[in-house]
Amino acid sequence: MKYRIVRLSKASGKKASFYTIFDVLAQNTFFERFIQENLTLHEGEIHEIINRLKVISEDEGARTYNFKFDQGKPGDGVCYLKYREKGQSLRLYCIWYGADLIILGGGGAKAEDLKAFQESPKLKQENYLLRKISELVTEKLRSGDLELNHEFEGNFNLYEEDETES
Amino acid sequence: MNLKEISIYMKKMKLKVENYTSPFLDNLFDNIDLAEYEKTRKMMALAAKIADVMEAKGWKKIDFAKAMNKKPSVITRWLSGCHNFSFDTLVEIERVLGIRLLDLSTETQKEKTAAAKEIMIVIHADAPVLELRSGSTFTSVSSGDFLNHKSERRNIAYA
Repeated sequence: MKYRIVRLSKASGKKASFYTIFDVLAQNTFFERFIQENLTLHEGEIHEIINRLKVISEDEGARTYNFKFDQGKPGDGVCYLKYREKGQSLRLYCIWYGADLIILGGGGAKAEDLKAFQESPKLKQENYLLRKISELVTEKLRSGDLELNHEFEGNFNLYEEDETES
Repeated sequence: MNLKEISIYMKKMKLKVENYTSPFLDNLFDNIDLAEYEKTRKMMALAAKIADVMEAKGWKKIDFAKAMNKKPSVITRWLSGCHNFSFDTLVEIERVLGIRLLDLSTETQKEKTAAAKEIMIVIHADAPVLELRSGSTFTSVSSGDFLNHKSERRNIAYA
């Protein structure tokens, strides 16, 4: 697993910065992959998500009420973005680090008849992957390899323990 | 320094993050529908204003819910920035929080301006008699008398 934290320059603004995870092997980012996978069948919802991200980054900041928390392990910040009161079928998983910094992950559609996201293999995969990312970032923050001060600074590479940086 | 020390040094170097962009994402963010964006912005701004006032009052969700006679889950929906408020609800929130959410000042000013404008009366030459309404009654007067009466002077257009 070889990833890198990158900042989404188009999504970010004066009130908040959005980051995502660049998959070095796939040469793609989690957020871009989420958009590509869901744009055809959920175009309207994708545009609503884009609008909401811009309002967050330019006007209001990332308020906790804009997200549904407790989607990961306790305290790991894994959540998903709310963009509709009813009829929201997409879950874009994120890691919330404060009103001015969010990591956008992947996600997918949640069928109405599913009671828990774990019943969807896609959502389970994306959710658990982001939990892992959250763990790696937390480890780097603790070790000082990465610092958080309104923006991330430091070493942005995320590797599993048994892998070395090349 | 050997390779291992260089690797440790590189890890500790404070590097600025890579600003990622792609034509695909650029196209999405550059072609936002402005009307839809404005709608989203206002919905989120409304929720944010309510949340800010709650915080200023030291109210948690449960306090606001009690004051509004609603369940806390309803307040969560209101604050999400996704809720389409009814007029009645907005008026009630204004009352409970002591804030203005419905800004009618522009319309009121327009109304004042409209009222202050002089009334245009068109007098047809073949209809010299005017009927003036006073309360619930009408009085017939000649157009000449009307024009000469200072208190009733208006801008007159002749057709």
